Amino acid sequence: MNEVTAFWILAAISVIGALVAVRKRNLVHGVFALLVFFAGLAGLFLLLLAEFIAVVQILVYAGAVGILILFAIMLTDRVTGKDAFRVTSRGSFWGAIIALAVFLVILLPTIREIPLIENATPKDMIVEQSSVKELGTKLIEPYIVTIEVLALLLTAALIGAVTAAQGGRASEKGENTE
Amino acid sequence: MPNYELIQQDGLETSLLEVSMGPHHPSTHGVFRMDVKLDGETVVDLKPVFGYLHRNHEKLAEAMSYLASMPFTDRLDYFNSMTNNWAYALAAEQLIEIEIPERAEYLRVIMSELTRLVNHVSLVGFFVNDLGALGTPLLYAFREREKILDLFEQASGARMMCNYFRFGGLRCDVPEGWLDRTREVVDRFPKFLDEYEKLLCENEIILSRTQGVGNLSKELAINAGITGPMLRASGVNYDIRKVDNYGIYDRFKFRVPYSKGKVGDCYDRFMVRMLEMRESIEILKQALDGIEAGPIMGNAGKVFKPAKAEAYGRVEAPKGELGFYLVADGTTQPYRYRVRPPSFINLTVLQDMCIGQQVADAVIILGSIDIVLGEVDR
Amino acid sequence: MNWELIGDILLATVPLLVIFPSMFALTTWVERKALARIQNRIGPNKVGVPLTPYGGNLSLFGLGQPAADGIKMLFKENIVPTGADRLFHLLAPILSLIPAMLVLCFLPLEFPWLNGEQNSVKAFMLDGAVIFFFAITGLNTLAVFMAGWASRNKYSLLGGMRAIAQMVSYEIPLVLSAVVVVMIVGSLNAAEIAEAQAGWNWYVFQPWGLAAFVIFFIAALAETNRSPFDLPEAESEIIAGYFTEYSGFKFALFFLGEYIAMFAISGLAVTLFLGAGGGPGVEALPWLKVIWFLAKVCILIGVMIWLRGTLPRLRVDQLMGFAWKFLLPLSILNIFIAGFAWHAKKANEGTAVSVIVWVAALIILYAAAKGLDHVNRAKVKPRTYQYGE
Repeated sequence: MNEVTAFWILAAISVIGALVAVRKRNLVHGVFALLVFFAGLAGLFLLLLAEFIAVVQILVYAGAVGILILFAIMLTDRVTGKDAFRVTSRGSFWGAIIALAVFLVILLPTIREIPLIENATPKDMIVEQSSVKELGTKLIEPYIVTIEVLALLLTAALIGAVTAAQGGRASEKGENTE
Repeated sequence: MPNYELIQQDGLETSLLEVSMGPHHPSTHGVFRMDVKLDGETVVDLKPVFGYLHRNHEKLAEAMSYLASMPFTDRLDYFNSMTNNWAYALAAEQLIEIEIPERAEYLRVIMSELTRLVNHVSLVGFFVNDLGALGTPLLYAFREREKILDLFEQASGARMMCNYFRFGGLRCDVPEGWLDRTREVVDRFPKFLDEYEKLLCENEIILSRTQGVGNLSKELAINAGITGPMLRASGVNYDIRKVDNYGIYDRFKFRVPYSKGKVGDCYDRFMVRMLEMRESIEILKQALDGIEAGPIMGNAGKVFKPAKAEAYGRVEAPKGELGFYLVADGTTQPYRYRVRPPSFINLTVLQDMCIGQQVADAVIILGSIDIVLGEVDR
Repeated sequence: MNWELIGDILLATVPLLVIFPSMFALTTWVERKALARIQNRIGPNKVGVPLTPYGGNLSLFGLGQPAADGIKMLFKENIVPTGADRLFHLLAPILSLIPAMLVLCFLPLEFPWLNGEQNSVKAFMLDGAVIFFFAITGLNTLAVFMAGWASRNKYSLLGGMRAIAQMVSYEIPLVLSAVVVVMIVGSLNAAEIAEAQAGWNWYVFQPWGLAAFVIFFIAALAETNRSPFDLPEAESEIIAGYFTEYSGFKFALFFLGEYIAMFAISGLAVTLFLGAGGGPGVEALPWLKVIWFLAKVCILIGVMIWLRGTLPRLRVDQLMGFAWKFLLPLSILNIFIAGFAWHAKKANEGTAVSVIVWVAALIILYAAAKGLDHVNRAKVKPRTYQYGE
């Protein structure tokens, strides 16, 4: 029972969840497999003592994105597909090769550059201040402009969404009175 | 008929969800089914399906003597057996010359108004239960209903299936002290009504759930033959107690509450019933003051065998106009026996009221109509 | 194997798994009894200890009812509708229970047998406890969706849709009202929040704290599907909503999950606003903290039961309107007011200033609530009727 065992368990959960999410023809099953993947990822973050990232992973991905996808699925007609009919396109082999190549090209330099500590455990990386506090200070002090711009953008998006929804309802009302 | 059009936006098609609400559903008040088509939660189409409780009441009555049908009328609207009895007795009494004694007339009025209290008080309870109040108002109502049912039991021997009226009078006189007990119940009832009104009539959630929901216009109400509190809630001043003055209703001073608007919604239907209970109490007080000792059965013969005739007797039952149409062919059995059930006819506008409303509204609209499936299906 | 660590973990978690389910059992009895009294009934009064040696049954005010209910639930047939998704039908009640149980760890319950030195116990005292709480309770929505979808029943589907819309909407005012306290304390750690309120310095006594507490409690009612926001399981409309097709032990699990979620969210309300374990006598007897904490939770649960017995249900559109048009603006305003009040207090340390700020904040919040109410309230009022002679 140490961090390595926990890592392998969580990694296995994440990978299996991701694979099932891709392969399942039943959309709802697929989404829940995706959520398992998100949860596994959150566990991995927690293992790295990045608890804020972990909680955001659960809050945003498992909570919000998952629900959003489920809502979208509920609005569609065909929730279930037959598992027998697998998606098989002709170029799948070469597609896989290219995906792998892109993955390696992007990731290999990164992996090479970071010096790996021998037998490192997260305990060695414990910082005095908690990650939440540090993140909060960083967001308010150096990145305050960025966060304000983001806030403005999100507010604009929210107002836009409300206007779009209101517009639909207004035209509907107009039709009724005609 | 109101129309509801699906919102079809470019390329986006929505399909309807068909839900069969009932026959087993907590708030269809019996075995009643509403086939609803939903767009999201909005009712696009609604088809009432009934007949699950059909008991062949009318045909059965043609195969038995006139009086033998009396107990069966109890089972029509099993909440209001007294008014059912009275309507049938009125129809039959038109077929023959018969004198109804004073005391019997008074007792008929008393029983009928007590029935109205029972019906309205529990209807309001059921209605608020449909609104989701978890039975609290219903059980308050049932506490009061219980007292009146006790009175019925003392008078007739049965709490709900009273079978108390006879052609030309009543089956038996009320027991000693019954009138005093009734007076006690009647005197206490306004206090309960005050409490009930305080709890319900100005409750913000009830107001916003019921006002503007299930609109029924005056014209549609009249054209559809709606009667009773539902018609008065749509703004029509029509009460058979006033129009026909059957029995001895002309001797009592009472008022008929009706809506000020041209459109009645669930709140109006709920309030009209609340106000009607107060008027029933007024009638009861006057009747209890006016009643005197005397016989309770008229000069009816042993065998009820009218000559060839037709008769239609109707009363203002708590749910609306309850009428019995009898065709006599000179034998001891009616040739034709037909019931005009208020529940059934009031139910016909359900679809018109529900379309465009939410599922939650459809439930309370059905509740505000006040149906009893025993009467709808017969 | 680190046996000491495992021992510590058990010492910290097992009490939670014992206390809250037994409180659940007791609450079902209290709820039935209280509802019965509200409705002029007696409630459960027969089940107790059957066939005692002294002959006959010992009824004990029906306290045996929870056990009887549990046995009944266990032995009932497990019915899965034809065409239902068997796996998800099974997983849904489990998934609804797990997040509810998990978040109990974040409550600052200071059991006397745990001293602060034990690191493993402190592990639950995460720095992000409050935000973890919201993240994990949010997962309950998924269980509801799972149940609604897997049952292959239209009522379940409707209930599931209602539940998701409602839970997602009310999560926003819930979190925003909690943000106020987090902002003032400057920490997401539940233990630190509890410590900041030591000695009757409860946040509910501040105007912004009171407003936040009311918003939090209302949103918590919606979040746990309690009356008057019990639309997802509205009996008179959609039978039982998402658990229409559940019977036997699966239903019991749902039921347990729902009540544990009620305890958890009440526990968070107590932590954030009602001074956590604070109360008379805690300085002398530290173990009283647990008692006070649980007592406050029980009071909140009692209010929930009381509301259930008295209020009718809202409609879907009214429910959504209330969340988005009333609670959300009020909670955002509340955050500003809390910020101003805090700064004003920090700048001037005098009592006069703090009293003025206190009164001003209260007036502003009251006026804002009244104004929002005036704008949003459905134009309904009692009517008068005419009489025909």
